[in-house]
Amino acid sequence: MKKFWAVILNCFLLALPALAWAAGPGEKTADFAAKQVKMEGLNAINYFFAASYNSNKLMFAFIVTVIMGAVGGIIAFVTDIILKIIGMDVSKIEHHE
Amino acid sequence: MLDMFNVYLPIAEQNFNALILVAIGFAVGVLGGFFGVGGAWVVTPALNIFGFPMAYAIGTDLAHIFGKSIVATAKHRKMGNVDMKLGIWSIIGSVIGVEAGAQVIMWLSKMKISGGETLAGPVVRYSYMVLLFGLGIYMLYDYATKDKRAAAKAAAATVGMAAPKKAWNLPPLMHFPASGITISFWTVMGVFFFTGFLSGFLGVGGGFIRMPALIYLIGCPTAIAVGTDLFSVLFAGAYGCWTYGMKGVVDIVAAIYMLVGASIGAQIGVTAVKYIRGYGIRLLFAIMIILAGSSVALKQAGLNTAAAWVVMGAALSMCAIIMAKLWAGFKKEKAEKMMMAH
Repeated sequence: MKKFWAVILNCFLLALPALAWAAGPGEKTADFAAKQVKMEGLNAINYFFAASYNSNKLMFAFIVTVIMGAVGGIIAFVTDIILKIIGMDVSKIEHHE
Repeated sequence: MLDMFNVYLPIAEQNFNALILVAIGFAVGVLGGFFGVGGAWVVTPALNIFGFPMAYAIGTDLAHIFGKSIVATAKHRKMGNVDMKLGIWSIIGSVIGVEAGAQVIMWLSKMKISGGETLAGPVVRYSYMVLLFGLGIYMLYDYATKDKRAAAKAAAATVGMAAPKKAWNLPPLMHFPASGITISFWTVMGVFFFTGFLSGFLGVGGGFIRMPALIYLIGCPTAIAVGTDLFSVLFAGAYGCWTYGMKGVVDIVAAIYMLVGASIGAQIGVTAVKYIRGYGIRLLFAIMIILAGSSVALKQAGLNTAAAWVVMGAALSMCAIIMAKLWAGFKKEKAEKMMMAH
């Protein structure tokens, strides 16, 4: 009997998230999807970013995401080496409050 | 003189001081690595103070949060502070919750009040204040009474009393070995749905809600709560970076400068977790969110500049405290190692 009520309660709780999709879009944000930026007088890197921004926002989003991930990874690797050199290396720690 | 650090932002189409971007990134990186939060609630007003184009602030901030979270999560993982299983469940629960929160905001946005504003604005601001002050005061109370509770627990153990059974243990139960907890699936989903809901409702990343929820509602050790929360922030940041990139509101050059500062700061913040005990983290977090709450209160009173300075001042002070504690802990550890060697 206890198991039965547990199953019923599980079914009820599983149905709850359905309330979340009450219809309508999510929050609104600034959208410059059609915006074009100027490209005159830019250096090579800025020109590349501006060109990808102007030509295709999907590609621009891809470039932004990959660069952010890659730069984060590279800096993590380099600072890890630096901290190791100065003796601030970290390994598994004990979890105490 | 500082003009020599000005750089051209090709997407925002204006010049901005790179030093400011690196400094803001660094401060938020330290806080993010230490508290396990994204830090958008600090970055946006800080950028605002220095005149960064606000249309690009959120997108640029989220892009740098993604990169920074990779740095911080990788380091926390090395320290054994990331409960991947719990982190994945937190993402699933939060996504559903965020959607529900956003729907409530949409509903409130349809209700007009005086001055042309909708009901969503004041409701969000007051909820934000209640949440920040409530959470901060509770965490301060928890810190103040920790010795009393530890003594009571020790006394109960001495007389052989069994630990109280958890009141809510509806099956299926889930075991999280990294955190050392066994808990009902419904508690896990309920907590993350709730934190996700608040996140969607308030329009924030939600790290500052999830971190204490992991400690107080799920029962994680503080350091694991910080690392696991960052793991969730990483995914939220990646999604934010992508979707805001598609909307064309990420200035990638500004984001890279911020990321350079944030990545170095995050390394420092994460390393500090090694030297500051769990309750120490909770105390500093409580002070930080009370100050953030004060900033929101000032904003509600129309004092926008004062509000931005309060949150930025709090962030910089907290950053200085964390770095000082890290340095003191590092020196102490080094001295102990030298003593052992002799």
